[in-house]
Amino acid sequence: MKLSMSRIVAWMVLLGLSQLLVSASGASPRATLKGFEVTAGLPPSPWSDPEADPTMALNSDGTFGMDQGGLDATFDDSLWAMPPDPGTDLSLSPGDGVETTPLTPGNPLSTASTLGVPDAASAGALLLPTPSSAGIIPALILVPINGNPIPPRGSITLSISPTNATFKTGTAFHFSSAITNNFNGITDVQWSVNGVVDGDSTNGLIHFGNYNAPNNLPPINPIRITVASIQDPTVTATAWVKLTNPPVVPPAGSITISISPTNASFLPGTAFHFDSAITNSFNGITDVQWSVNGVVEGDSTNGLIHFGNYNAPDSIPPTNPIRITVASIQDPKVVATAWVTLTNLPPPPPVTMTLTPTSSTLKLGSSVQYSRVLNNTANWGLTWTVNGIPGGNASVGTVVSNLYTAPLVMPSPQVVTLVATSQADPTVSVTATVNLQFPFPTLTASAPNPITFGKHNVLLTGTGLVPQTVVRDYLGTALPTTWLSPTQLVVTVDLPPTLTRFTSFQAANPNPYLTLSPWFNVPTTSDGTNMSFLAAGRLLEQATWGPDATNTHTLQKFGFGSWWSQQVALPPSTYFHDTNYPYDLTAIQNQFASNALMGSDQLRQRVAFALSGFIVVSGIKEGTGDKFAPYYNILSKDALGSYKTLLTDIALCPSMAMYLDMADNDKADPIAGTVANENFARELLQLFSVGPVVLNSDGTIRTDSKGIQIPLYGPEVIPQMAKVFTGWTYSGTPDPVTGHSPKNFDGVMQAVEDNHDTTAKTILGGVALPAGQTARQDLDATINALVNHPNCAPFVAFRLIQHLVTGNPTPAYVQRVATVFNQTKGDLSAVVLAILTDAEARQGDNPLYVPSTNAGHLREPLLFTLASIRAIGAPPPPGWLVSRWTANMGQKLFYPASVFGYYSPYYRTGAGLIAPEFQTLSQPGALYRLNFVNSLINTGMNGYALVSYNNYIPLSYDPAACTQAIANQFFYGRMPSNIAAIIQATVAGGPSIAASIHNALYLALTSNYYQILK
Amino acid sequence: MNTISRRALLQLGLGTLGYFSTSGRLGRIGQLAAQATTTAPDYKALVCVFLAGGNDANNLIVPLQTLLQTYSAYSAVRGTGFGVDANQLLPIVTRNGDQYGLHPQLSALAPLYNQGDLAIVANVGTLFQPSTAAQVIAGSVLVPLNLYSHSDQQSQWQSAQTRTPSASGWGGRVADLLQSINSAATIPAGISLAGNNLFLNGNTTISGQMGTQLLTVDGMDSSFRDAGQQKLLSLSSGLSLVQSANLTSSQAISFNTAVSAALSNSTGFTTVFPNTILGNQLFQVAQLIQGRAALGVNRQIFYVNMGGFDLHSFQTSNETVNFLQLGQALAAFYSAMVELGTNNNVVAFTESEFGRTLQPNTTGGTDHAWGSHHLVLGGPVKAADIYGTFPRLLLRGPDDSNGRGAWVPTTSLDQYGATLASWFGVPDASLNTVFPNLPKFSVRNLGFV
Repeated sequence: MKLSMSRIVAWMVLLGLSQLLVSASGASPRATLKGFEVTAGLPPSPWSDPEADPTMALNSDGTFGMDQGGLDATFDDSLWAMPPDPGTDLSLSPGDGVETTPLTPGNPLSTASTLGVPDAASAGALLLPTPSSAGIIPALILVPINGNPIPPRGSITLSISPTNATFKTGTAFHFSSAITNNFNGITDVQWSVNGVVDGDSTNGLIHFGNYNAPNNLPPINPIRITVASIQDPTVTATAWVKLTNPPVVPPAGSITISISPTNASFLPGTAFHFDSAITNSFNGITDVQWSVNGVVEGDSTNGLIHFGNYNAPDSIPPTNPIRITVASIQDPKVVATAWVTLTNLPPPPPVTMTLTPTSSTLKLGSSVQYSRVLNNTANWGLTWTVNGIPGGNASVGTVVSNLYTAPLVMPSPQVVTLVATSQADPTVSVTATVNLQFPFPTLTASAPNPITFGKHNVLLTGTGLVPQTVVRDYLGTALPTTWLSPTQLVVTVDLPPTLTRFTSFQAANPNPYLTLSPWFNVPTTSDGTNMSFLAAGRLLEQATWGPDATNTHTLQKFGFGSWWSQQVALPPSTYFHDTNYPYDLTAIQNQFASNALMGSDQLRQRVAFALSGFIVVSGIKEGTGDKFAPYYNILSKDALGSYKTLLTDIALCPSMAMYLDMADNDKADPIAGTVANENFARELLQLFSVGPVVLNSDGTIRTDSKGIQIPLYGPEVIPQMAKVFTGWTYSGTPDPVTGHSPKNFDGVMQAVEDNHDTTAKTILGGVALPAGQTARQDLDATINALVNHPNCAPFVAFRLIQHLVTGNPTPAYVQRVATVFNQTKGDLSAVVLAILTDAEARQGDNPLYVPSTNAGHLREPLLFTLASIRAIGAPPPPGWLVSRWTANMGQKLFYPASVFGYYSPYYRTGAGLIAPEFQTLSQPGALYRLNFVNSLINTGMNGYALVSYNNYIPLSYDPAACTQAIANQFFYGRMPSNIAAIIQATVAGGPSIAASIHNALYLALTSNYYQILK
Repeated sequence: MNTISRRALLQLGLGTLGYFSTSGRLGRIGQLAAQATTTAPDYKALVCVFLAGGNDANNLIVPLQTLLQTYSAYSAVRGTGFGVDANQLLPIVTRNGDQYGLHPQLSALAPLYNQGDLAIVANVGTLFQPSTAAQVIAGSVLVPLNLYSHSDQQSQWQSAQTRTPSASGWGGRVADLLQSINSAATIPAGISLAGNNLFLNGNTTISGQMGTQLLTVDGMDSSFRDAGQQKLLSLSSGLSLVQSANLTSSQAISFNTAVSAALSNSTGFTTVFPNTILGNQLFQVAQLIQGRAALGVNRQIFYVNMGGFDLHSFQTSNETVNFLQLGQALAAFYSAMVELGTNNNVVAFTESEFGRTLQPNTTGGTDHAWGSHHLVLGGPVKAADIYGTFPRLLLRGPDDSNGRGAWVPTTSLDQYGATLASWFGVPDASLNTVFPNLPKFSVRNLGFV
């Protein structure tokens, strides 16, 4: 254990060292403070050379001994204490006192408590209290109890003045003291020098404060002067004396000095440092003084020097070389000399630097590499600052290896300043400015992908995105945008349904000029799950005038059943004579095209048109709106109703009555030699209901044993049935003589029984109509017989399937539909539903289904033109213009060449396949199909059906996506890869963006893969 | 032969596929080729003028005074209000002295008859075998299927097949046989001015088609596009209909290209063609014949079509227009052939699906019937005459099949067509191929050309 000796000394002083020594050396040595290793320290001297710490140890005989003499300092006892080990056995004599106190900083002894005084009887061991839990070691103070009374602390005060003095050896000096004694008034004091009462010759003598310093410096200097109270020697005051000697000449050689270098040559005006080295064994003073040519610190002529730093004059002085001297201040005769020769040698060439570029324009996040050339130095190293920041930082950009990399976010200002400083010559630097610009943005990913129609937030990933980035759609509309990071932002989109099923984004960064990202195209999709895109598209090809974005999405979302119910319930489109077009069917054509392109009752209109394919009235004969409209209104009204109703309405329709000459068809006139007109009767059988040959229930033509078709009726039947349809005239008031009314297309035909042939008739299938029936009775019975004839169901089923689904239905398909016809007594809505929902119609909905070689049917010109206009989303062109095109393609709207319609249900291709619509496809017609598409795409049908292809412009930069969009728009996503490859190459290879788009769309729409519905 | 345009066609990838045979009948082709090499191929053209709807030839040519009957036989049935007045008919005389009258609106044709360039073939129709009315009524002969049906009888007239469906027409089959004579041609032998028809469908050849004006394939910046389209048209889709449509498109482009090139220098005609449907078609035929050298053709068969003959009512007024248009167009065509110097190389002839009942109906028209009279026009006509046997205009008479004056044909379509085909160059040995029913008739050549 190390004890501060200061505390032991204080303890001994407190007790009185002699007393302790006496006690401990008594007859029975009781102090057994063995095992202590104590060190002692003195309080700091006011002088800079404190005495060394003396040490004190407990002697083996129990006495304390100091290993160093001269323990003569006085101490402030209030600071001292001794903290021995807890549990130390202090064997004390009776009367010895022990005072302990926890020793904590600042706790003076005056607060100490007396633990107790062992009496003689109980002399013995006194155990020190154990330390407190806080680990504070108690101090032990021994206090004399049986000695003279000790004045209470503070009752005697003592001071000395001055407390410090310096004077020469041999000097007399007076110290004054002041003492007060409140204890007993005794104010006697005793003076000591270095602890020796009244001093001695070595350290000087003192008497009544008059001090006589010795003539020579004592070994210990300063000297301690102490004054102590006689009454209480522990009350002292101390002063210090520093003695000085008069100067003396240092002995030769006791001081040495040198200078370095001793010779130098340099240019005028140069600053140059000389080193000096000095030793002083005489008195240690090593101060030196510098001179130039003997002038201390030099002058302007020969240069100035200070602390060895020589500044040569700007020109060579008259005296050259120049002498530089350095001398000891202690002994100015001790000098070292150096010579400077100033020369006018050319200065070494300065370091110069060029830096490239010093001005540049840089996108955020990109870099510029600086190149530099340094002359007159091999060290090309540079240190850089960016806007004053060494090396730059993330906000202003950084420089590494002379490569400046701009920050990712625009700092303010947008111009940053770079300073490159030569490491070889830090005075050489070049400033470069960088004009920062927003980066070129890119967009590379989207979440979600695909994006469903409707309003969504879309996370776009890209590069070069900044808070100022604006994201636009293909129309250039800025989308609400939230910037997240240089690589991510969120836009809010509101996507309407489309057929292309793509949307496009472009990021735009602002000034100094707009920078646009490449277009980023993202697939879109319906959120409907009731039907696939493919299935919805196919169904709309079969049941409407072609898929459009809205119906496709609706079908996907709500399913076929919902769509069907809605369609069946819609009121029929109607057709009306427009006196603005009195001479032809322009108005009816316009109404038709408007209904087909824009009308809601798509299913009904498609079926009505299919019926018009074999229940024909032609504008060649019924060529004005008043004559034609009644006919087409009946098809529209009855398209999803009873077939019998349809035929009855048709039979009594003035349009048909005029077209096939039933109007005013009177019974035979023997006098005139005329008989009933056969026209309506023949075509009603052959074309509207049963056909000329016997059919099997699956629609196939029955043949005899030689493979020859079997006539359904002989030539004798037609005149019989011609008689049925006699006695009908137009509505209005019939002429009383002829029974004929003027032509009138406003109402239905009326019977004039006088003109009706009332003889008995044997009609189709041997059905006998008795004599005497009215015109209406005969008509109803005949139509009833036709609709109930076994041929009728397969006849109608076959034709409707051909028009809606496929030219070559399997017999089983026809049979299934014919069965529904029979079961529902010719309910056309049930028949059409059976056609559309049949497995044979729906098998192509499976994307993996491979159509059979014979599958499908050609889009007839009207379906081709109207469906392509719908798919492309063009505004509706007028019907007359549509018809002008389709006429050239072989199908003039409402003007079939004859009652046989636009084409025969049994027309065959050159390959021998039944393909009714191919009858319209002549070679010129094929060219007109090409030219129609060209007109639609390139001129919007001369402006009548202008379409913006802005949505394709972004896609045109990505031929694969563009091709997929085209496949979506026209093929509901299904386009064979070999076709797609050609279209994709066309997108990629077009001479212009517009040409690429137009040409690709042209190829898609003119491709026979589009022309053939599958 | 225009070698440049031919090469261009080949480069387009269209080549000669379709109208230059690659299969079958090598024997006959060789036969014809041998014929062609021994004599320099001359030029011949047939022009089929189809009168759609069933022409009422009873009013086209009316007996005035013949060995068997007079005008009264006609007027007794047709009546005074419906039939053509005798004094309006344009009288002509047959070689045996019979007097007939042409419909007054055929005044443009009467001079051609009188100069020996127009023949009339009486009561031609579809037959399965030689038949009389009595046999037909008795059911003792097989008759063509679906008599009186427009569609069926049109097909039978064009195909010369009367009881089984046929994929080819007799014009097309003639073209099949004459390919070697046309080996230098840049276009098919058969050309329709009226769209698709069965008549020109060959078993191995496909006819060309054009409208009444030349077409261009429109487009801007379209060369790259059109190259892409050629690739699309050459794809194999696995779908028969797509391939058929591709073939039509390819044919259309190649044919239009060749014809446009050949006709680009057409000098036109002094003859003014009537601006009617038939007139415009025949004008185009005349232009194609004018361009025959550039097109490299030695044999051509044309098909033109005129509708509006199905007159169940208001026949008189409509027929007047029809015959006027028919006569003017045919006369103009003949005049143009004279201009070209090809009037002795070109024969135009009429077809129509059936005649019409002699007996009118109560609505001022006539109904579907059977045999009918036809016109043959051109320098090759041997003599102005009525060929074949004119029917007795008598209801329930020896030629009436149904009591209303629907004549059982006394000359079959096969005989009529075989006579034309024979003139055209089809060897007699090949005629049965073209006209399978021909062997049933003893007279194989009616001798009108």
